[in-house]
Amino acid sequence: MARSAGFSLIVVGRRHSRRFDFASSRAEGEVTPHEIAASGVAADDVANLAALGPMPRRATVLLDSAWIQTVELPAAAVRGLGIEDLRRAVAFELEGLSGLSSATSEVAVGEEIPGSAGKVRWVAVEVHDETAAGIRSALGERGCGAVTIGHPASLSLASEERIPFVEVHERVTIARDPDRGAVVVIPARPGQRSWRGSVERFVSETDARPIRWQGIVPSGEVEDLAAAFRDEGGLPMELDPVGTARRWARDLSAAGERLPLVGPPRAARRSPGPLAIGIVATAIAIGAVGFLHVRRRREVEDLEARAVTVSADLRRIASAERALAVLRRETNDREQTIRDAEKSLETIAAGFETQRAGMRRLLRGMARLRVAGVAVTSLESRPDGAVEIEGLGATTAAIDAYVSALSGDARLGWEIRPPRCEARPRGDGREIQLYSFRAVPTSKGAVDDGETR
Amino acid sequence: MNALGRRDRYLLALLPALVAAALHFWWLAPELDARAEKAELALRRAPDPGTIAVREASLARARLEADGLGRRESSLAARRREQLADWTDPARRAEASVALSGALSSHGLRVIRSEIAERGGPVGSPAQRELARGLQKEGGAAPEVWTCEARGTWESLLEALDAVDGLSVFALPVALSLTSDLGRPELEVKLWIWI
Repeated sequence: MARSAGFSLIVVGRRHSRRFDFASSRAEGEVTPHEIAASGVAADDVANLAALGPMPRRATVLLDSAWIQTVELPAAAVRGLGIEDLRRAVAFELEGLSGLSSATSEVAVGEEIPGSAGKVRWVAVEVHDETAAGIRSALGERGCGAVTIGHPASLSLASEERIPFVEVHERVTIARDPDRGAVVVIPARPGQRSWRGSVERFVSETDARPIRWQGIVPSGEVEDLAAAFRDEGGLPMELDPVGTARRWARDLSAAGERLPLVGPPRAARRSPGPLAIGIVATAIAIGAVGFLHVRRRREVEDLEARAVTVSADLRRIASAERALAVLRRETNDREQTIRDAEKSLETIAAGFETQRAGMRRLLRGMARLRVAGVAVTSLESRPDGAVEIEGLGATTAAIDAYVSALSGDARLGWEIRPPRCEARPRGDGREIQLYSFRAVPTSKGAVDDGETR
Repeated sequence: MNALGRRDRYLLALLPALVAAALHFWWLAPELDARAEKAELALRRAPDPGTIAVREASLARARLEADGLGRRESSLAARRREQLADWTDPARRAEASVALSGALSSHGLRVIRSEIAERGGPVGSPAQRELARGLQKEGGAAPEVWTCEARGTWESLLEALDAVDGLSVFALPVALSLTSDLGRPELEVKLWIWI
């Protein structure tokens, strides 16, 4: 349900407790009244009244049981004090009068009024702090956070009218003479002797007429006294609850902070509700979590960026190593190919040289060799590379010597095989030896004598 | 909410904050921690600062070596072409045959006949066949065998063979046949020459 833009006025009396819901902030608007029998415990009555329907955010609770009195302090002592220090000073002053400790009570101070010589005077209201806390708690649970607490008798002090009045409540009577600036709080039940004397003294000291009678219905012992006044104060609460509530609401809105109303304690006023705490805690948690997350994410992203660089470096190294291995393999292959090609050419060239030099070495060796009685008649290359040498010899010994000498020539580079000899008759009756032997090229080659080229 | 107690309402109000904290510690933080752990693992494999430079320097050296090989290959190919051309270029054979006759004649050998050899004869030893195969493997043509019949002394034969060696064209004596009559200094010589 949407909350009303208005306010509630709750009046806790001795017999009845009433709640008036004003639909708007103006006292003239629609008013919804509720009434219950008083339980004797203000906080319970307030809780019961609050449970009767949705509470607006703002309420003023008027306690008939609150302590109210005028108090005077030396003007010099209070000059320059802030409102909180003034309340504290008044609370100490009131301890002896109200019997309430300043540590366990809440005090409200109204507008400054003229005091005796050299002093300042106020109307003060004092409420036991447990009562105030109970009321605030009861209303706070219903969503009503702006609560002021006062005494119904104090509201008339806000009136701008210049007519003196005597306002009678069940436990206290307040009288005011605007012309004199006099305010009297009589802490006695109507009809009591002290009450009567105090009222009569006020009336006698007040020059202005008429004096208005306000408050409860005059009856019994006070009826004769009330009859002395010209009653212009309207019907009392018992007879016209809504009208009285409207009047008090008007006084409340007109007087503002001039009335002695106990507001929310400073600490309590600042104490945020669960919703505010929840919002703030959530905001802090989200902020902290966000901060931690963003910071951690940056750290992680930095790590990941470095890891990417490392990976790239590793890839570069691996790539370089692969390329190096491939290049080394290719290089080795190419070197081998080159070596093979060079060797092949060298082999061919060496083969040519062997071919070229071999024949000449053999011929030179044979030309160098002079053995008596041995002649070479033919020399024939064979397809297998060997050379078949034939000749004539006087004796086999001479032939053997020739072959042996040829075979022993280290420069030759040919292997000389043993000769075959065949004796042939000559015309003079003697014999001559036909010989033949093979020279085979050796793989070891020859000792170069520098003559092969 | 009004039905809840004061403590419960505060707890309820704090619930979103607790949920946010729980999300962080049980969902967001572990995910980031896992990513960080993975990255740190990768960082532990980081190479020494100089490793990349060393590897790349090695690669550069290897490329230089490869370039050097390329030059060697080019040089070798040129040398091989030149060598093969010397050994097997048919266009040079006519020049070689003329030079050969000249070399033999200038040292006292009387050349009687020179011509391209017929198939057969003493040419074709294993070493010669190996040489011929080697030439063909290198891309050259098989050598042609030239025969030359001449007369002369041992000395003139040896000097002629030396002169053949000194020719600027390729001419390689691969077989020889000679005969001599007793009491006569002249030899009858037949040479088989690769040109």
